Amino acid sequence: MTAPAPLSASSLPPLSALAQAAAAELSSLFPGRVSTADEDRLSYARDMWPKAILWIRQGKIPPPPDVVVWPDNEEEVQKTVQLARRHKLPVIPFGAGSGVCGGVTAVRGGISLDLKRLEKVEPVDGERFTVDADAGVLGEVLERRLNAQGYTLGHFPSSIFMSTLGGWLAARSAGQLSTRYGKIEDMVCSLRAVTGRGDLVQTPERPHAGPDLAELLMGSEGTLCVFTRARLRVHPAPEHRAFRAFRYRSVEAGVEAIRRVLRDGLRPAVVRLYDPFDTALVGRKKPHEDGKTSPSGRGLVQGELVPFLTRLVAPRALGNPKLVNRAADLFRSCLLILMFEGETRRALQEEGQSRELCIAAGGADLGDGPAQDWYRTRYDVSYRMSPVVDGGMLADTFEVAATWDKVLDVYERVRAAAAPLAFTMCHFSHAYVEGCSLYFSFALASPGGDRALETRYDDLWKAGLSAALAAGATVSHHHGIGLLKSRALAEQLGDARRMIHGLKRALDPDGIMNPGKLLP
Amino acid sequence: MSDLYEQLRDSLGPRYEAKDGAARCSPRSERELLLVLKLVRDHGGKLGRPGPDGAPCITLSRRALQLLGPWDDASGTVLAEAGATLEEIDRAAASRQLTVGPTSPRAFALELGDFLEGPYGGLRSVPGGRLEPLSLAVTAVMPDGLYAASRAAPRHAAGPSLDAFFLGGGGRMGLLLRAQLRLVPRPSSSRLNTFSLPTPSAFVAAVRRGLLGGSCVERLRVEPKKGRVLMEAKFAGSQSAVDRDLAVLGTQILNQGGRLSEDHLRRPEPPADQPPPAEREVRWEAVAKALEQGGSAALYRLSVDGAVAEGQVEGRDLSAEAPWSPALEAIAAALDPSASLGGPP
Repeated sequence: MTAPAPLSASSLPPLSALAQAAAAELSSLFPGRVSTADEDRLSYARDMWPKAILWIRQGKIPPPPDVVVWPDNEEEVQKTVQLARRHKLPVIPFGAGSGVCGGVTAVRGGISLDLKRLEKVEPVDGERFTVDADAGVLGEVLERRLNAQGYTLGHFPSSIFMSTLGGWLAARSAGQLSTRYGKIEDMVCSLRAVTGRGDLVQTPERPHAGPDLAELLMGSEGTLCVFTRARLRVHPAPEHRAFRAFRYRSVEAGVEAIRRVLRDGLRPAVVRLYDPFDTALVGRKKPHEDGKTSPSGRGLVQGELVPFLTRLVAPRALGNPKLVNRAADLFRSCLLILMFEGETRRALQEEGQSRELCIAAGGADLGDGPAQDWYRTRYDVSYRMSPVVDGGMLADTFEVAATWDKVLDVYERVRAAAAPLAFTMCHFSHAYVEGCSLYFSFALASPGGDRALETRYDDLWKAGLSAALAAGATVSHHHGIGLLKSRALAEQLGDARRMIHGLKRALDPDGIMNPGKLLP
Repeated sequence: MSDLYEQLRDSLGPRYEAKDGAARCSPRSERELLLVLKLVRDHGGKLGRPGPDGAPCITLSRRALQLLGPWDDASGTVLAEAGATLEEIDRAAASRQLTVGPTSPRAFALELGDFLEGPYGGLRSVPGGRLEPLSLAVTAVMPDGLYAASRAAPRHAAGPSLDAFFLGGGGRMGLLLRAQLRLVPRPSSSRLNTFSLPTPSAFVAAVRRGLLGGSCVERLRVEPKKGRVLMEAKFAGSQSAVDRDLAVLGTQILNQGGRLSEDHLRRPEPPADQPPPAEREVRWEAVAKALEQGGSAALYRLSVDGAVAEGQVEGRDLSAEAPWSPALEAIAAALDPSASLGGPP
C-alpha cells in the first residue's frame, strides 16, 4: 500500500476574474464573512462521500468553490443568490457537510453558501404543534431546544450532530424513528426558500390551491433553491418507550413479521431487521458488555466490519469478495429490533400486540435487551473513513426502498450484483405500511491500488443501482442523489426527467444552482 | 379551430359531443385519449378552458378508463385507471378485505383522476395526524404527449416528488392516466362514542392531541349544546385498533375537562339517497369559531392542521379550483408553454 499523496494548496485551481469580482462585491456586502482562502475552499470542496475521501488520499482535490460565504439571515442569502445570478456564478448551498453522495462538490466552482449562521429557533406553538426554525440549525440543537419545551420533532438521523434542517430538506432525510414520525417531508407544514431567480418563496400551509409546492422543492439538493426556514410539526415528548427484540431463522421470516406488524395498523417508532451477517456483527458483542453495540450500517462497516475483516482476512482477500460473501452465508439467524414510544398505555399495548404477531411469524422473543442496547448507541456512527482508506479499503452504504412484494427480490438481486465486487450486508428499516427501506453496507478493496479501487467502487455502485432499479426499487430512500446517483436517477425517471427540467427552467433559468447534481 | 372540432368528431365519433358551447370528448381508451391531447396540442387548443377568440371549451372525460389491477396483496396496493370512482375501487377491494380508507362522502363519489388532480389533492388521513396521498405512484401524460411514471416506493429521496406535479394540479402539468393506490385493511369493527367538552378550544386541543398520539378517527360530528361542545366520534379498524384509538382520544378528552356523554346530536346524518352536501377544507381554528357562533359540522379526513367539513365552517371550497401562487404558475408555464392542458381561466 502506497502512502497517501500530500495535498498542497497550490493544487487548487486559481480564481477566475469573474469569481474575484464576485468575491470583492460579497466582501463589501458581508465584511468578514467571505473567504477565498485555500483552506476554506478545500474544506468546502467535499462532503463525506467516500470517493472524495479516496481522491484526497490520492492527492486529488475535489473541485472546490471559488468563494465561501456565511450569510447571517435570509435577506443576505437572497442578496448572494442575486449577485451570483448577475455574475452567472454557481451557488452551492452547504449545511454541515454530512452528505455521502458528493452533493456539495463544486463541479463548476462558484459560491459555497454556508447556512449555519441561520440558526434561530422560535418558541413552539403549543396549540398548533408547530415550530419555526432556520435552515442552518443543527439537528441536535433543534431537538434539544424542543425537548426543553416538552416536545420532539421525531427526526433522528444518525448524522443528527452534524446535519442541518436545510440539509434534511434538501435531501429528503429520514430519521431512525421514521416509522412513527415519518421522514422530514412528512413533518413540514411550510417552507421558505430563495430560488435560483433570487426570489423568496414561501410555500402555503393547507388549505391551499394547486400542487404542493413544498413537495416540488424538497429533495432538490440545492439545484432549485436554498432553503432558509421551515415550519415543522412537533409532538409532545413521549411519556414512555417500550423495547422488544426477536430472532428469526431467515430474512424472509423477519421481513414477513415486519410486514404483518405494519399492515395490522401498529406503528413502532423503530423497526430494524438485520440480515444474518449484519446480525452476527451486531451480536458479536454481548449485550451490556461495554455499553456499546454498533447501531448503524455506516458505523458497523467502519467501526466493526473493517477491523473484523482486517483481522480475519487480509484486505487482499476483499479483492476476491465472492469468497467472503460465501463464508457469510454460513450465518443464518436475523435480529429484529422494535421500539414503541408515546403515551404509556398505547406504547405498551402496541408492543404487546406486536409481540404476538412477531412470535406468530416464527420469531423467538429475545426480550428488550438488544433493542435497549441499540437505542443507547444509536448515534455511534463512525465518520472515521480515513483509517479505512489508509488500510487500502473503502466502505459505503446504499439505501433504496421498495414495496413489500419486491423487497426480497431487491435484497437478493443487489447482493448478487455486488458479490463479485464487495463484501455486502444489509438491514431493513424505515418500515411503512406498503414497504420498507433496504440499507446495504459494503466493504471493498482492490489489489491493484487506489485507482483500481476507485474503478471497483464505481462498478459496484453501477451494478448495485442497476440491480435495485431492475427489481423495482427507488434509487434512494434518504441519502439523496448528489453526483453519485445522478445517472441512476435519470434512468429511474425516464421521460419524466422533463418534468424536473421544467422545474429547473422555472426556478433556476440560468442554471446557477448546484450544477451537476441530481441529474447529469 | 373548427378543424380541431371536425377532427375530434371524426376521430371519436359518438364519443364527441358538442353542446351548450362546450365540446366534450369521452375517449374509450388510453390511445384515444392521447390522440385527443395531440389534436388539441397541434391545433393550439386548450383543454378544460375556453379556446382562443372565445372558441368553445373542450372537456375530457376519462370515465371509460376504469380497469383495476393487478392487485398486490402483500403491499395492499392496486393499479387503478383514472376513470374508476373511489366507490367502485372500494367495492372491488372489499373482496380482498381492503379499502381505500376513510374519505369524505363527496370524495368517495369522485372518479380517481378527479380526486387526485382536483382540490382534494388525492389526500387522506393516516395515523399521526398526517395527510398522505392515496396514490403510491402515478402514470400521467405530460404536456408534450410523453409519459411520466413514478416509481412505487413507500418513500424516496430521489429528487423532488414527481407525483406532486399531478396531485392537486388540475391536469395542468400533466393528465393522470392511472395510479397505484395504497389500500388499507378493511375495518372489522367500528364504534361510535359521544363526548361532551367544555369549550370549542378544548375540543380542538383534545382532537389535535389525540391525532398526534396516533388515534385514527374516521369521522367526527360536532355541535354546541347547553354551553358545551357535543362531539360524536366514529372509530373503525380491527377490534384492538378501535380500542387503542378510543383510549388515546378518550384520555385527551378527559385531560381537557371532557367526559363521555349519552346525549344525542341534533345534526342529522345526511340522507343516503341524496347527493352529499358541499365540502370545504377547513382549519381547526375555523371549526372552533363556527362552534362559538352556534354552528355544527361533520368532519372527515382529520389531520392536526384541519379537516374536510360539511356544515357551517369557513374554509376552502372543494368543488372549485382556486388561483395558484406565482411560483406554481411559473412552473406550469415552463412545463406547458402553450397551456394546452388548460391555463388560467
